[in-house]
Amino acid sequence: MPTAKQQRFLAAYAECHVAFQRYASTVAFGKCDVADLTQDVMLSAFKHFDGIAEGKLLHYLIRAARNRSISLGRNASSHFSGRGRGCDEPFGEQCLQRLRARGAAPDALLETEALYRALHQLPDKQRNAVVLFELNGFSVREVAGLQGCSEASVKMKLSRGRRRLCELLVREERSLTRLLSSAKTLLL
Amino acid sequence: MSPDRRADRELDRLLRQAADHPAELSLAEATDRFLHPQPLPWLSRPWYLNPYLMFTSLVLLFGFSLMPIASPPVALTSFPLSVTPLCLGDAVAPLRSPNYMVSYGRTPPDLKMVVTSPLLPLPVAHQPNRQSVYSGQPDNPDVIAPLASDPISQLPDAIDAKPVSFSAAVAVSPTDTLQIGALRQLIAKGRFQIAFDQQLPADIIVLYVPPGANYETRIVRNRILLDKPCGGETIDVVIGGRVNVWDLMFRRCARFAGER
Repeated sequence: MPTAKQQRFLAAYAECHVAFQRYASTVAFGKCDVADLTQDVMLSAFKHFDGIAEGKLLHYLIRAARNRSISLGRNASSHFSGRGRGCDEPFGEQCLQRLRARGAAPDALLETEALYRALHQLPDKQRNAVVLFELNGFSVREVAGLQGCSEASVKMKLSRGRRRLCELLVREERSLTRLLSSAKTLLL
Repeated sequence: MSPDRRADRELDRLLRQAADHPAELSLAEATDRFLHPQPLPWLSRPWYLNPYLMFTSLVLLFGFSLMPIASPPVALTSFPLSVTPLCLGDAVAPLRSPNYMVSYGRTPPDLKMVVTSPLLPLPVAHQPNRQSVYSGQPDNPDVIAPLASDPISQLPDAIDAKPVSFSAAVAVSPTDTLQIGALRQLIAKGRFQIAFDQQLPADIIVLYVPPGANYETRIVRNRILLDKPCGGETIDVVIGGRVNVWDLMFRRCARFAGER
């Protein structure tokens, strides 16, 4: 039976769940299981719940998830260096099962995975700005508040991040096309 | 449409798709995990099947088993009194330092602790048979021999320090012939030698008697010397082995208290 504090916390968390999960999926990508990260961050938020201002729980969750992912990233080897979970199975089998069970289409999963992979090649702050603005729907001002920088700086990061993402995705598409054509040649 | 524009549109589509992507964990799953957190797998095992705890236990066990070898007994470190006087000069010289310090090895000297310690009033209360020794008025001349036979039991109870090593100890007053006689009896029981440095002023004198030494010739000299430098001072005779520092200091403090 949850205590009164747990009930209050869960009621506040329910409003942030979707946005937080989206953010957690991007920061946990290739590093750890989203469920573990979520549990860690939720426990931390619950511990400090009394000190978190009303309506700021999502901000806390995002900051905590980001910090936790950074510390995980320090401990783990580079995600795309060919070692560990990062390169071989960025989403992880468990994660794929969960997403399929929740109705994610296979081609959409592939494309999302490619996007996440490209996102993880961006510098940390740039990636965070793009994720918060594009995926989580925060305003530029909110992102600036979360990142502790000016709005102009956020806009700059967004612009550069998008440009870099385009380049990366185009490059990936080209290499994929080249791979497909060579496979076709071999088959024919 | 320019390639840049097309790439931009494609990126928008991908971002929108990712934003609409279903969350990996449903709210119910997240809530359930929060309310019933799963313990770490290695913590849920019994300790003897747990390599982490097993390793830690072994390290601790091994570490504790080595501890007495690696560090000296607490009594020695907390109370830096330790003497291994292999001859008289070694023992007496440090005893005569201004702070009544017995220094030994690398331990920094600091005997103030002893002088101010609650050991001072102990001798009379805990060793009634030794009153004669410390007061210089022997009421029971036979006390000396039993002391030597079981010296450790004669130590005051309040001194709970562990002696480094102890073979026998006895205190005599040089002015008392009976006690000198008892000392002689003691000496006659074993083969030993009394080393005595007559050049030292007799504040407290430790006579170290190594076992197996020839005493016959030395005892005469000792009697002469006892009268001369010691006067009415207490003499400690330590027979064989290493000196029990606590016993020495006990005597020293007792006499010090008696003078005051």
